[in-house]
Amino acid sequence: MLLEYIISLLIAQDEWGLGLLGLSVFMCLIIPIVWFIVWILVAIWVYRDAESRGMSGVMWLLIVILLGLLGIIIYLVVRKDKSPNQPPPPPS
Amino acid sequence: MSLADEIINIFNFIGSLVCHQKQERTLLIGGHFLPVCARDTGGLIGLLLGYALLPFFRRKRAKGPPNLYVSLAMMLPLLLDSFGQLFGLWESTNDVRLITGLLFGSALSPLLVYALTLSPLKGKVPLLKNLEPEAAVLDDRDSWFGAKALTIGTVLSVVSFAVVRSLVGSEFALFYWVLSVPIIIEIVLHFMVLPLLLLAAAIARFIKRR
Repeated sequence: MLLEYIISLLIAQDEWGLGLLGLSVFMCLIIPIVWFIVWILVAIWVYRDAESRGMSGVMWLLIVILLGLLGIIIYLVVRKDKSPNQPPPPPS
Repeated sequence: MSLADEIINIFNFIGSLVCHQKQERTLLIGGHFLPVCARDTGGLIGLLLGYALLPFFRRKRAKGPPNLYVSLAMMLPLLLDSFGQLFGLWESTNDVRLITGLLFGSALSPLLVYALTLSPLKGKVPLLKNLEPEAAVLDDRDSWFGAKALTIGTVLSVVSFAVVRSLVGSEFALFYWVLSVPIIIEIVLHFMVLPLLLLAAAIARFIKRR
């Protein structure tokens, strides 16, 4: 439905239509890219945080990528506490 | 075409940017289909409920995240219902979509405001900056938005479900406007303004560091 509407705007070529087309491109392209970048950055943070707590960073990275917000909440609920004397994770 | 019809078309266009708008999954209120489906309607109204609770139930000096167990419990039904339908296990109904959306949204808004404190947007978003916690410490057990507040959010979600449900099929046009105007405002704020602010703040911070 959205695609048909965008095509009709291109055919009409009036200023109002082109403005709406620009908004569509912005919403359907740029905004998802921004949220995708945020999602990836959060997943990377979860990876690093999990590794620093002696948990499997890769597993939690995958869970957060797959489940998104719910994955982050689940991670925050189940993650181990950081102890002051916790040794760093062994090098891979 | 009347002004009201023009505005409804614009609303539907904005709704189409974020929602599939399948008619069989969209609520018909005041003689018009809402701009988004039942689940998104629930989510967006739920967000409003959550924001409305923040001034009264947030604990200003606490630093821990909103109670994660209760938040998870409120958000899981939407996930289960969505995935169950996606994998063909069952066909959901608009009532279930609406209530799961409401619960999800009302749990999401405190998390969103808390997350802002951890982001480059800390203290920068108008209206929300006065609701943010003083500091956000994820390991802190003292929840900034506790179980009691989220439980009230759950109760309000159920009440809202009953109210919205009672409006479905009504021919009174005012009900359409009462629901669709806040829905559209929320779509614009959450899906357009907030990501732009986030992008701008991240770029500003990147430039500052260089």
